[in-house]
Amino acid sequence: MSFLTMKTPETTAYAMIDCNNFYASCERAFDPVLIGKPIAILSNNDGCVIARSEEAKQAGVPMGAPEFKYRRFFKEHQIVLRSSNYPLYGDMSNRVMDILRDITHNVEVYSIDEAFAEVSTNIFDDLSEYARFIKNTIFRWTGLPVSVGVATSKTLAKVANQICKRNPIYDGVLNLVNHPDIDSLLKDFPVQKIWGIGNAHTVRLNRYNINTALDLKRTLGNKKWVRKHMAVTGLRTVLELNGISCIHISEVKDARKGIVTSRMFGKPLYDLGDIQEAVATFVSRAAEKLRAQHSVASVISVTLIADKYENLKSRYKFNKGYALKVPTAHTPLLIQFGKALAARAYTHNTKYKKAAVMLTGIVPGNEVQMDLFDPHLYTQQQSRLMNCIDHINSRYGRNKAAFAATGLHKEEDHRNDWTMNQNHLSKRYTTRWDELMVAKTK
Amino acid sequence: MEGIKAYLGSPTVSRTGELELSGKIETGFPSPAADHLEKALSLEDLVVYRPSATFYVRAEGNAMQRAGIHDKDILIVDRSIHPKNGSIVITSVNQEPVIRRFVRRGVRVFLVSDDARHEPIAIYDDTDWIIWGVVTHVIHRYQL
Repeated sequence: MSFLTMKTPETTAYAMIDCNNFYASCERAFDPVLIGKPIAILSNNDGCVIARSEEAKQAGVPMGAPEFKYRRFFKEHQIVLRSSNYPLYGDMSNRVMDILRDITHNVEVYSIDEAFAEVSTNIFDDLSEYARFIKNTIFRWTGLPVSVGVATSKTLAKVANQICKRNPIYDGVLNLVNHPDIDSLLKDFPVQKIWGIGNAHTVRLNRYNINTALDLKRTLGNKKWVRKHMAVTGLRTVLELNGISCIHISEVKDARKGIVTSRMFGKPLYDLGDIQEAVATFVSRAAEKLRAQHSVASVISVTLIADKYENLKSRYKFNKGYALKVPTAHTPLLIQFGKALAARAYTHNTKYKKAAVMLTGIVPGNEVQMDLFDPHLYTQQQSRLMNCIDHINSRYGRNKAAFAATGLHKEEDHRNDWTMNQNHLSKRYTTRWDELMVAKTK
Repeated sequence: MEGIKAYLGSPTVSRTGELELSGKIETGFPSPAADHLEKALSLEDLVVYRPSATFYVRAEGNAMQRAGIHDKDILIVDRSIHPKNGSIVITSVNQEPVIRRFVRRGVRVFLVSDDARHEPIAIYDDTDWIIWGVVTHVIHRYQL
């Protein structure tokens, strides 16, 4: 195009960028042997399947498949197993989001592997071309395949993303802005797959013979009906399906409402002391996350979860909470409360499988109302000590400096068995010097 | 001595009779360098062009010694760079990551080792290969 020709007015649209089979793709990016092979990623404790590569889906590995039940199936179908490697997935996610911030506008990180962003025609004349550029850049820079859906509303961008991810003819890119056949695409899109349409809505909509995205789009003529049956949020979805943007990019998310650390024990625990060590470890981790967002918490709660199948009639979840007078991020204090709460939730002779620690009532550290005489006041001195510990751990590895209450200092064989099973763990290629990817000279 | 004296100021006798230096360093005047502070040199700034596309890879073997790559060295690899003729690349041929030189001869591409004992790999249309990234620097640790 000549520089002298007038440019058509700029169009702005939303892009939904979603990494395909994100966890499996991260594993593959550093281990080319896995390319083309079926991969299943196991949950934190190697308990069940939480993610699959396309090949594993094809082979019939169901989501949530318990590892011990499917051991033979995995072997027969040559499924490659991986324990979840969150340090790797987290770093790769950050890279994708950083690239998006470089090449698009107003990136909203929606989850570890999805983001919304604004794209406009001031960089590429054609939005499909822009979407392809996003896809190719992320793939080349990180090795991760993504799908990019573009539309004038976020809901439609998500629809576009899902369509182009499923159907290979789109090659991972679909732009619905001024798309001549948008209605025939929406006609093939089931209503329950639309962003914001849950099970309850689906049942109600199906009763009124609204089964596809196109059916729902056309209810715009009867706003009163929509409002009556689906409330205002439903009306927003209908407007969005018509290409009218109502849900805007929220670039900065609210400070987190609560921090949860929860994990299955490596093997069931009966002893209160063992459980308290686990709880102390979860408290340490939660407090670390709390400090990472420069906040303090005012409520701590501990949940102990017993084996549900051991005694089907009785309760199996036991929760105790405590509201602190002054919000804090001081690990020793939180551990003290955590252990006391665990003791209150605990009953003798019970087989516990899991514990969870939750910190809520979170406020930014600099907005705390000070009660100078409270013995639990989170002092400057404590804050400095905690930051120091966090620095040591971020520099030399997690739990290098830990509190004795966690039991983490014990020798491997004396250590309690609530630590995780991770029998299929890959390397932390991007966060540990001693676990780098190896390339041979030959 | 002259210079130091000038900087510290000349010694004076205080009212208590003790010798004092008038040019206060710890408590008094701001550092004359305060207005000219610059960020200290960072190795990462020097060798990492695009953080989101840069990865560290451990080399194994000595076949690329002529390129300055020794066993156990850490390579800085940028995946966003297109290889040029002669670039050292991490490439994966038949699903194994190897370090080779990217060589273009006309329209053909060869992956060449510095060690003549390893045959060059010719790339054909049906070759199963990828260029994983381009090596931009190497970190070699000497015996200490």
